[in-house]
Amino acid sequence: MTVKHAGLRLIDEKGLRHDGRRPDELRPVAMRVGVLSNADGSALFEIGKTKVLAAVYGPREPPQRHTMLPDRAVLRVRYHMAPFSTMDRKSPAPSRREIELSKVIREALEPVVIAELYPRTAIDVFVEVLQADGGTRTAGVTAASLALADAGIPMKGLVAGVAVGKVDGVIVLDVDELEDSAGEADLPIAAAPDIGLITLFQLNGVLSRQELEEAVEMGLSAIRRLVDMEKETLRSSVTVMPGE
Amino acid sequence: MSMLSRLTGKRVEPGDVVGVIEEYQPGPGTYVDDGVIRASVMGVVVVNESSRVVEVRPHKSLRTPRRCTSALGVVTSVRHDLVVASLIGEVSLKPHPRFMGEYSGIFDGAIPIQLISEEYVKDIYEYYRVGDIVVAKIVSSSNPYTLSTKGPQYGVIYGLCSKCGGLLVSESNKTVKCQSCGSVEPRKASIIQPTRLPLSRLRYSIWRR
Amino acid sequence: MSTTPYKLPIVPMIKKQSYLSLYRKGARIDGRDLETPRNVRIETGVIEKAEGSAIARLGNTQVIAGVKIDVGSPFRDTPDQGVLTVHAEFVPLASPLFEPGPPDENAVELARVVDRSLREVGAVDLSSLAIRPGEKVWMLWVDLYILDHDGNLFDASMLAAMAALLDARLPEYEELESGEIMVDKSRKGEPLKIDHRVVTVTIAKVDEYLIVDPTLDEETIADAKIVVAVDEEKRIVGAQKTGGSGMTREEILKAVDIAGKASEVYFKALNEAISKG
Repeated sequence: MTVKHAGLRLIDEKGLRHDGRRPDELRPVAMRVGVLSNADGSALFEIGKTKVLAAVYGPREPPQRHTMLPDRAVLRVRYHMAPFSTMDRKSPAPSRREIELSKVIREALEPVVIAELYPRTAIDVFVEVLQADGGTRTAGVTAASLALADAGIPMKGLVAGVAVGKVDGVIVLDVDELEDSAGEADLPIAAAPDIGLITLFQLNGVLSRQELEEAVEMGLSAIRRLVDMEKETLRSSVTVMPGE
Repeated sequence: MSMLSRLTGKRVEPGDVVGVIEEYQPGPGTYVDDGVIRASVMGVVVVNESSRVVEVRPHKSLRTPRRCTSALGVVTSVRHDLVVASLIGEVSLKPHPRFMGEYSGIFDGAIPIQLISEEYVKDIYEYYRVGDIVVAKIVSSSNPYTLSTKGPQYGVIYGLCSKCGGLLVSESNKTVKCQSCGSVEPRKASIIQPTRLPLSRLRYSIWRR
Repeated sequence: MSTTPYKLPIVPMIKKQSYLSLYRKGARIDGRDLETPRNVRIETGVIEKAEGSAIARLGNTQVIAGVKIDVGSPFRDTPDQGVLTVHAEFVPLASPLFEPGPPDENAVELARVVDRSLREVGAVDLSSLAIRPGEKVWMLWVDLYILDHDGNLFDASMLAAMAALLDARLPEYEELESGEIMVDKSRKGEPLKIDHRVVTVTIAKVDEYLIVDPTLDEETIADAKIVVAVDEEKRIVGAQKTGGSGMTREEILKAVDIAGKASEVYFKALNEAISKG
């Protein structure tokens, strides 16, 4: 969807964005864990109007035995958008985009999940986009990271993601849908800052070498803040000590 | 006093540093990345100064079947040489029988005929029936798990009466009795009191695939 | 093809005994009596991008309903009426039993029962949805999204659907000279014309007991359920027996009576949410 909004200015004379944010400013963020009773772990992540719910089940036996691995758990990830999450109703049947993003999100989580501890099992991660306003795949990674930790799945570190973009020639953090559709580039990035790994990296659009470096730096610094918030959210979610 | 012993009791999240391998051994709930010991789960740090082990006690313990522990399961099929069961959760037998919690999913286990009882098993149907709730020992370390019910604690806790559908509870180590109609059926019965394992508290693992 | 459910419950009988002994005393494991629904919480306007939305929570059960409104062509046999479609998704995050995939028979049944309960009584005035009769009408999509399944998806879904429809606003539009309709969804216009408010009350039969708003555990041990749709005047505007056992004439009539009374609880929660929203 590359609708060019003719004459629309995304950066004003003060250098502020269409919603009043500075280029390096995130939209308001909210995180909650343990929001579902059935799932082993769950989280709701909101960034601006983007709302994403993630649930984790397992380690459990996958329904098809042949999908098991002898030396580790398999991760199964589904990214899916609710029909009412977009301006025009989205058909609930999985699109090619959702199939790709499911893979991209899984590969953003694989590097941190310590799957070797649970051979011959499956860890299922379900990401449901309840409302889409840009950055849903990276919001999905952030929600999934919280849900995995909430489920008690061993991880090397928490992950978070954010979409960096270029609008009106300026590198901006956390692009929303308007900036994504009208902007020149969109760079979704996710990382586990504790272990210094970028786990999701895509670029749709054109950036110079220098712009790319600036975008990655901007993204990583926001991801560090998001992971700190994840830790704070997890810390405040626990009220009872384990009776081990 | 080293900096790390002050870490004991500290709340940590996955990825947080809890030690270095020059000083400590990584224990449960931790992993080593480039010489640094980090938490892999959210929980509380416990440093054992005498063994030099640092571990993270998880706030939410993830339970999967483990070798040499006991499991609560439901018999899902009985073949001439094998009893297949769905394992629901962990049971601790000492100091007294107690349900420790559900597994993170339902796991398959099997009792081969030679591990059903200490005695020679001639007719497997005299020992188990589909629908029986059993306590069994896990004797293998990966799934599908091999189970054993040799020993007085192991065997059927509850069964369903084949006449009236009522609840069967153990009467002797070889029989169970229906609480509704009084009918007696043969089983490999456990000596554990059914009330020790309140199944009504199970969360959602009430189905098998 | 519909098959007898083969995902067999594994510890239902043991639970059933303890549930039945409570029912005998007129009580339930969560402290309710047999004829009272769980705590109902409804919130509207939870999805700004939808033209109408609501989340309904019935105990631990959570359902979101989103209403999307587009311009389309009417059906040939109802040229001057808008089109209402109800769709349900059992997303796999809601239950360890739900698998990804197209809606199964349970999801289709749920959507159709909600659809009929709205349609038969004329809850939404579909004739008010004609833009140019015979040519252009509003199409209403009610999408039900099950988020957490702890039983009684029917009542929770119906409450969410009704609240979302009451929350919905038609988008503003312009008719171009070419006759095309240009919809501007960023501008919200008139609310939908809702002529009747409807709820469903689900009653499960467990042995000889009839219990309102069963939890997932209670549905597991239930022989059958009956879903009764009721409007604010307590008229019966739809019903469906579901589950693989029969019910007697007396049981069905008693269930209908119980439904009328229990509907008051749902209507109170619904009306409160709407006046607040």
